[in-house]
Amino acid sequence: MPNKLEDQYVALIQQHEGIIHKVISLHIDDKEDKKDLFQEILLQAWKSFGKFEGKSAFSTWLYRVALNTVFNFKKSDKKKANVDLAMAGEIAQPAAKKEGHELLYHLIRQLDEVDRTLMTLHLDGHKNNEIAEILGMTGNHVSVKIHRLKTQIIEAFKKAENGYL
Amino acid sequence: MDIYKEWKKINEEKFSTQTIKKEEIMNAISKESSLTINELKRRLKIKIYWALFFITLFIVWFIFSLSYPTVLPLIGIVLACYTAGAAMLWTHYRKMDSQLDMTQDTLSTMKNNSELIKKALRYENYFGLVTFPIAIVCGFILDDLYAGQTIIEAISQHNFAVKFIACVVILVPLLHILSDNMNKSAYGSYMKRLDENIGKMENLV
Repeated sequence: MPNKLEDQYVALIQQHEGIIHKVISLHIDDKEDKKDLFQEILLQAWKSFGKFEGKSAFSTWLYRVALNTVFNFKKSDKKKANVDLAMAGEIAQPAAKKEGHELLYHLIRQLDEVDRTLMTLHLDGHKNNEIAEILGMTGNHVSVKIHRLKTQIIEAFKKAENGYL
Repeated sequence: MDIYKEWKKINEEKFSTQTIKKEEIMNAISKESSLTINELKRRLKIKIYWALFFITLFIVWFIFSLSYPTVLPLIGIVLACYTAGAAMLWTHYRKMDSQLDMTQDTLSTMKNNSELIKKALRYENYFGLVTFPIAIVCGFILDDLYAGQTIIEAISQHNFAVKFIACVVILVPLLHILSDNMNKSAYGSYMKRLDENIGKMENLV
């Protein structure tokens, strides 16, 4: 019986692994932290997997566990941080020279943690009430905030295209 | 520009990997958690074991001191303090296990986590603040008690007050400040980030 649960868990994780990579890449710079956090999310999701009743999609449930783990994770000291070189390259490149999707990624990573989370959940197609439920906020405030963030990003995008960013 | 189309491209390019092997998942789920709350749980567990060790020691001491009636009240007080301290730590340790649910909404999880961590640090501090002075006072008056004096007589002596002020009144606040600073340097920036994110989400609510 436990093996059956483990197999089920492994199959679901293999199918939705990208969600964990996404949450980590968007919130963490340090290479070691990324590795630790990946394992921690797998562990936290496994510890709660017995309670997963399938009321929401597994992807939404995993997204929630991953976000909660990231928000409660103690990052390495900035002075000692071993920043992922691939990511450092992406950040260091002038915004105007980036392709559309690279620029969007760059702009999203510039937002603070809460705004970044709101924006990525929205871009991933979650409805405002779902986002509110995942984060513990009210739907109305979420929609106002997302509208503002979208305007802010589109304006920044335009500026970057015109070489002002 | 269509940000949704661009985001889809980001998803395909950066997050569509499917490379994890079963062994890696099994390895990760068999490890101990590295979250701060688990780090503090391990610290509390060590303190509980120490308290239990001393409680056992005091019980043995009590039994061997039955022929010295003046010493027994002191051992009784120390035993009661250590037992109360261990019980307080144990109650919080159990709460830490059951109260953090990663499937709740993010704001509730963060608030819960922050509260549990703050309480764990506070209880650790209380435990030290109570047990350390008691251990020092015991050391000062033990000889007098074995010599047949009562606790009141022993602590009424002039040199007890001097030793007490020198060690307890000065040393205990110093140790308290030291442990507070150590906790701030270990968890300060983490707690600040946690509280900032809680504040930001609460202001959106």
